[in-house]
Amino acid sequence: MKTNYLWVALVVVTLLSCDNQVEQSKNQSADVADNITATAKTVDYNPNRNAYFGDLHIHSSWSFDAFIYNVRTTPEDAYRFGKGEMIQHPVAGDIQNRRPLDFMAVTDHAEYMGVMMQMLDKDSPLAKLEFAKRIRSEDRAESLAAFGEVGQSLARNEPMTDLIEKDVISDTWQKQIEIANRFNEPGVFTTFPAYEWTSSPSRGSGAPENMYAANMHRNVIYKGDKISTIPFSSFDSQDPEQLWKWMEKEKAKGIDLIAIPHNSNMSDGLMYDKKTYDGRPIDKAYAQLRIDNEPINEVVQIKGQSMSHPLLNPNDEFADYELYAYTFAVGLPPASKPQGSYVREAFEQGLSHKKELGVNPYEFGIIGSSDGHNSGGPVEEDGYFGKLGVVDGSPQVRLQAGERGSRFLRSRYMSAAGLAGVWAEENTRSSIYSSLKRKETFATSGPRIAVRFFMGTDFAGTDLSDQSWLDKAYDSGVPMGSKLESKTESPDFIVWASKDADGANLDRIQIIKQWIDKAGKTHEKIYNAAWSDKRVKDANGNIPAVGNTVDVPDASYTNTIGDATLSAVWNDPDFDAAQSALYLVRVLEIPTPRWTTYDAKALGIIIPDDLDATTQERAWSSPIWYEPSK
Amino acid sequence: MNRYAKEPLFYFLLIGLGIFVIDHFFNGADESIDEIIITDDDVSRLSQFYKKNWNEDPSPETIEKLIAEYVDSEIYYKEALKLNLDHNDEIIKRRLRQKYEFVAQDLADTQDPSEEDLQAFYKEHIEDYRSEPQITFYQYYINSDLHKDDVGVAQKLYQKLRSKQPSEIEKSGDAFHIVTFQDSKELSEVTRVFGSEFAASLFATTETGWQEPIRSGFGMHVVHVTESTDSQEIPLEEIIDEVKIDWKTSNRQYFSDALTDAIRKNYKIIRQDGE
Repeated sequence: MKTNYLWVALVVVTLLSCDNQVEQSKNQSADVADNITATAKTVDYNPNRNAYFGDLHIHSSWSFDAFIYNVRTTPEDAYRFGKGEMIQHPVAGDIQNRRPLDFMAVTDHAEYMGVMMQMLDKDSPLAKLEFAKRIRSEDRAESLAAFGEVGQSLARNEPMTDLIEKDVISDTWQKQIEIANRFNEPGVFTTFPAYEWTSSPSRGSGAPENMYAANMHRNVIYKGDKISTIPFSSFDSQDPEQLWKWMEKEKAKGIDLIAIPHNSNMSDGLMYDKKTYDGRPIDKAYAQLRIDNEPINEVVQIKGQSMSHPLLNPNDEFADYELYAYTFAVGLPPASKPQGSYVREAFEQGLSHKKELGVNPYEFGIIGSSDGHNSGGPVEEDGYFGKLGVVDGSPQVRLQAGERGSRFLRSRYMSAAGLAGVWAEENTRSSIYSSLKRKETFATSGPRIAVRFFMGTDFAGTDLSDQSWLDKAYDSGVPMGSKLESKTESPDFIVWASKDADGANLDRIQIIKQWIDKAGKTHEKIYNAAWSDKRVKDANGNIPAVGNTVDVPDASYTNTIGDATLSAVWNDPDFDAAQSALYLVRVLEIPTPRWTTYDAKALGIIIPDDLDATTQERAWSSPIWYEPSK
Repeated sequence: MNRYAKEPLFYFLLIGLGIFVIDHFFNGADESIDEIIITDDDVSRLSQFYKKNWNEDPSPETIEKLIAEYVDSEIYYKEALKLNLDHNDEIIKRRLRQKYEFVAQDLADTQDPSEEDLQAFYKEHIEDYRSEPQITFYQYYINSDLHKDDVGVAQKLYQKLRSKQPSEIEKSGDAFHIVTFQDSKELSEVTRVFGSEFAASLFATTETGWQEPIRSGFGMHVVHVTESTDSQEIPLEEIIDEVKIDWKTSNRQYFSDALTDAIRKNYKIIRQDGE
């Protein structure tokens, strides 16, 4: 037994001398953070911009809900995952990104950020709370009941005051910032300090009062030079207008930040409602405030895509894609109303608002991301590990636990994660943040499809075979996310897309046009601009389906159909110089197995018949807006 | 009697009584009385705890009650230990193991590596501290969408080009969005641009000069490797922060393992299973 005493003695001695050293290591990390302000151009600098792929929506155990689902990995682990390292999943074993991301932001929920983890940390004052004992209880029923109270307090928007003391929040937030700064490596891996504002009101959503229901969530992303001392959370207000007003005040202090809404598909019509959150008609000041603070919207992630809905886009044969049209409400018919919930409809509405108010609140760019709560996003269909720790971490719970994976999340209807694409000169904070601000961004459902899109007046006859056309495109045209004001001339478009080098070939590039007529009515039309395999377009402009090589039981496909790259100089046959319009690009891959098909293979079962065996993954560009000049 | 015999509590009392009697017999009644000492610190801790829960200071009567509860709880704790009630309780076992492990972790976390520690650790894990290999190359593309026999076409192009120097070739192969000349590209960069398949094949080449055609997700490539640099050891000074973090992680594991080994030595494990 002697050894034991020796240990205890050692511990006592070393504990007495430790304070100093902790202080030292803090200073060291501050030094590392100082290195982030690199001004010289990095090796990959390209004036015609490179495509970078990232994830601006990732949760770690510092998010209260991730913690509840047994996730214990930290924001540091999340950045490690982003860089391609292996991290732990609560049930799926080790998880790893097949390819590192170029940029990333950990967006833990502001509400109770880090609080759960601190209750486990014996040195934290929170660990001493009576409530913490319940959270830590070995009795699962007791800890779940305690977790339930946390969730309820968020639904009622009545914070548990013990848990949100300023010191605690500030301490956690400073750690988040420090970690983001530490992992930022110019030219290699860009990080942004960030958090999620988690407003989920029942109000106006048809759900009973005080229920966690409609998704009004926003991720707040900081450029990184100067950062708020405390995040504005939904406990401060559930009204997005109040968030933007707070952001304006922060900007006045020299803090650069944007808000990115997501999952409008789950907002039950609130995200792009014709009224403001407090019920006023949208006016010019509101429209300006909104677009000033929300230049980007996230349109595809694990909880489905928010671009299109078959009811809103009945003439679009590809609109019915990864629909997840539910709210969070429990015990109700949980459908989320399509009207007011989808981006394509919002873009159309934006043209009307612009005509009435002179400002378009929806002149935003788009990205995809993951919303993974495992400190990592499951981007690959054939490596899916779920969204929420133990809730959907294994093929068994996802496919065999019935339609409802948990109380309010339907695991099998979720999608593998999306990605954010940006066109930036180099992989640095300032370059990528500028791309977000000027909306030169695109969204993908996961594959690293790169898509270029320009509008200009002298593109006719451009040779697109190599990349020399880019000089002209940038010099004389405008890229995605921009606005072209013109008169009389008929503009041309250049579209170009290349496949994911490790993924499926491309089926087609489409251009989606929306416009507003003299009577103020909005319209939408979809054009095929480029397609694979020399298929022949019919008189109505339709292209035959690309085919399908998917072997369902084997969960495999071949690249014997589709093309590696597609491009076209395209001219709008219905162009009217007097009409305001917008154009955006959609690129489709050939059909590949959906993640549930890989799960079914792993389990040796037949795919449940409510699921599609194959999927056509895709990318969407931010729009280019055309306005007749006066 | 039957009814009592089924009640575990009955046995607890019986055993407790037995211990009491034996204890009494050997040690004498007076000396067996345990002391429970209440200090000012205890009282202030109890009061603070009360205040945290109820948001007010406890009255003198309440303090007396808190002390009484504390005393009871201590008595039960001591008596329960005497009866070995902590034995074979999974929850208590887990909690105690956790506490023990915290000790090891705390010990590890308070240590900072010396220069020599870092040097030694760096040398031992030098494989983790190498730069990526780099290759400078030219690639001429054959578009599989345009040529059914892409392998044959690439092979023909390879035969045609292999007698030349890349500098003599103005343009060759099909048009491609990725430029022909790739200067000092790291493995990760080649993977990012050309995909994993191409990167693996390219970095598997052993000699400079023309290579047999290589496939990527985009099609076939005839490649001339101009220069390749193997992965290099990164000097310690350049990555000292990273090494320090790794050292700390490894030190934690070391202490945890050492603790397990140390206490395991106190036990002889006798396997009687499977006999």
